[in-house]
Amino acid sequence: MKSTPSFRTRRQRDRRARSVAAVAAIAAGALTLSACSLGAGSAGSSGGKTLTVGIWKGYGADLSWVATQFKQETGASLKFVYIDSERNLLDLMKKADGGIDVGLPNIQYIGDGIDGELFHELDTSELTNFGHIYPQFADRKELRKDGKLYGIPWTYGSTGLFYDDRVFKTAPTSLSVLWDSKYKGKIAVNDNATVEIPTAALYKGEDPQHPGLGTIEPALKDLKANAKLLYSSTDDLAKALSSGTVVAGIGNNDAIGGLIGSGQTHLKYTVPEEGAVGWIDNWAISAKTKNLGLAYDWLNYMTGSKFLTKWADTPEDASPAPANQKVVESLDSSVTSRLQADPAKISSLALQLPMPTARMQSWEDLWQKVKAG
Amino acid sequence: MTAPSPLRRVGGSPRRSAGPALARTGLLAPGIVLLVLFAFLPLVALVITGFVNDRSQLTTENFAHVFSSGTYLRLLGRTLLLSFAVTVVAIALGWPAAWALARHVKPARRTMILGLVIIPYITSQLLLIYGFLTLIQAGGPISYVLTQLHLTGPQDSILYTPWANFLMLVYESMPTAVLVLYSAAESVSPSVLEAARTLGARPRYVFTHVIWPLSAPMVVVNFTLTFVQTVGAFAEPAVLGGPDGQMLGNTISTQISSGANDGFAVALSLVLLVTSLLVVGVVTALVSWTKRAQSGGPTNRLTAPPRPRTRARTPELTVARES
Repeated sequence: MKSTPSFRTRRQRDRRARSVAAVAAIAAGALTLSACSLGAGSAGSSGGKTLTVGIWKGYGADLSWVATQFKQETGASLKFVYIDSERNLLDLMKKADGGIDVGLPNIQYIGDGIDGELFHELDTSELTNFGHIYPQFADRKELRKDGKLYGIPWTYGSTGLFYDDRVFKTAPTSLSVLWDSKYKGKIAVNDNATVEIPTAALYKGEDPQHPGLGTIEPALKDLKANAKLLYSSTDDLAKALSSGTVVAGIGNNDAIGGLIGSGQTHLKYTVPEEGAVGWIDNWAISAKTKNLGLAYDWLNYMTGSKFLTKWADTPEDASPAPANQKVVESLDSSVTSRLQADPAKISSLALQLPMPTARMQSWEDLWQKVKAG
Repeated sequence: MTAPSPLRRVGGSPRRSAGPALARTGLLAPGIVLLVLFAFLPLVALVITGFVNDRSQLTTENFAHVFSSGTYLRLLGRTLLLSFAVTVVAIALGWPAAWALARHVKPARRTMILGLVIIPYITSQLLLIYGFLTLIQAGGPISYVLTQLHLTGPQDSILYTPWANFLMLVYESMPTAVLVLYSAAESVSPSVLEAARTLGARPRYVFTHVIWPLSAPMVVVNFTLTFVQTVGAFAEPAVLGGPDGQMLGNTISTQISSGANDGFAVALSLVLLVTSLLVVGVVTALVSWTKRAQSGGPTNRLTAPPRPRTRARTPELTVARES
């Protein structure tokens, strides 16, 4: 049917009104979101009195007394941006464009951040604790590019063997216990390819950085067949341990230390004779921070005795081993034992180091294949 | 002053219709904005990410990786099959309950029971999962009772097995099933059922030719809601499923956490999304076909079962009018 002019005009007007309203609403929504985003970013960086920290939730830096101590020392407040993966930290720091002042990349990922020009070069003369960091960590090439330093080691740890000493009358010293059919259906395994593949490589005597995946696959299948639990959070592991469902497994030394500190004193942790997967967490300053001085204050506070000693002395806060040698030497031997802060074991750690995406994906594919099989 | 002519009255109508048009726009705009910002744009971003590799080049290699890998296709198949089974079991359990609620429970109690049914729906998913874990873990209440009855050992439990994951997913799906199928049960007029019975239709015939055609649309709604919700599950298999309880959802989750290749994780998500929609589409078509077949549509001439002994044509005609 042919439209009359009045109908056409009305339809056009209605359509235009709808279009204008829709575009205006979308624009308003987008502007509101942008404003929120900008507001959040500027609040953390422009005042000069707030330091924005990118970190894992519940990992030392956000303990309630930290903000109080740091404010007493510097007068500045803290704001935390929580991450859920190392890659997430790099993405957030990139998108924040200086809105996150400091972050905690581990040794495996810091190189990507350095290559992406996300981090500020560190001046060692501003780092009051740099001289006290274990040289095995401070001298690592992954922290540097063209001779410039971009990260200061904060903590280190291992992902080794834990067991229930009520079940094991003789303390196991080898990873072989995880493959022992005697404990079939009683083993907990960390659901992480970058832990399980190097662990299986250590067990099979392969190079943990470049294992032959053909050799590793049967070992991983046997490990899975022995496992009762694949866990991705310490809470899940704690529940399985408290119910007696698992009696041994692979775990982070700080997580197991936290469980021991919270009352599961029958748990024991060891770096087995084959070695264990190791990691180093490092503080880095954003290349675009507007609070450079405050960021250095944070790095000095975090790597210093005041913070690290208090953290280490509180078992339930699950501190890993400090990278500051002077601090470790000042701790009580029972504390260093709980933290697995044994410098003699550093050389037996198979560190999680940077690896090409293709290799990492091949590890992921293998681990998924084992799990799906 | 002249009296308004009919033409002028017509000419005034745009003013009257512009109001409703603007009101309509105003009512729709927030929803449209939310959909565009939080559903459409993220989906576009996901599609783009899926077609970009770690060197920021446009490529189909992420999808080629999915389809060339027996591991991921096996996980996809397992996830779709498990989700289908969960949905069917939830409907099979929820429908009789919803029917009983709609037909045989007094209205005052019905409200209370529906309130109780809703509780898991409005409870945090993680709380439900950990509550379920506490219930079924070794040494938990169920384990304790079974051990006391000498039916199982103290450390026996279905926790960390695919069954625990399956039961949890069914449990989570039950509120949706009961609520949606309760609406379906209410939509079947008692007089229609009475007419069918009076005319001699047997219970099975009443179900297939009266209840099913009238309830089919809500069954499809329930299937869609439950299946789509279940197919993306990742916390349940991760926490409860144990070494053999892997689903594609938690595979995607670990792939993202690994930071190895986000594009591949997105490709997995998109493949899961498309195959899920295909399953929903096929089931919708099948249910619609059976509805047409059983309610006297054109297909009925080809597939209709033998007529019941008595005059069963009347219920069919009644259903046709009702629907």
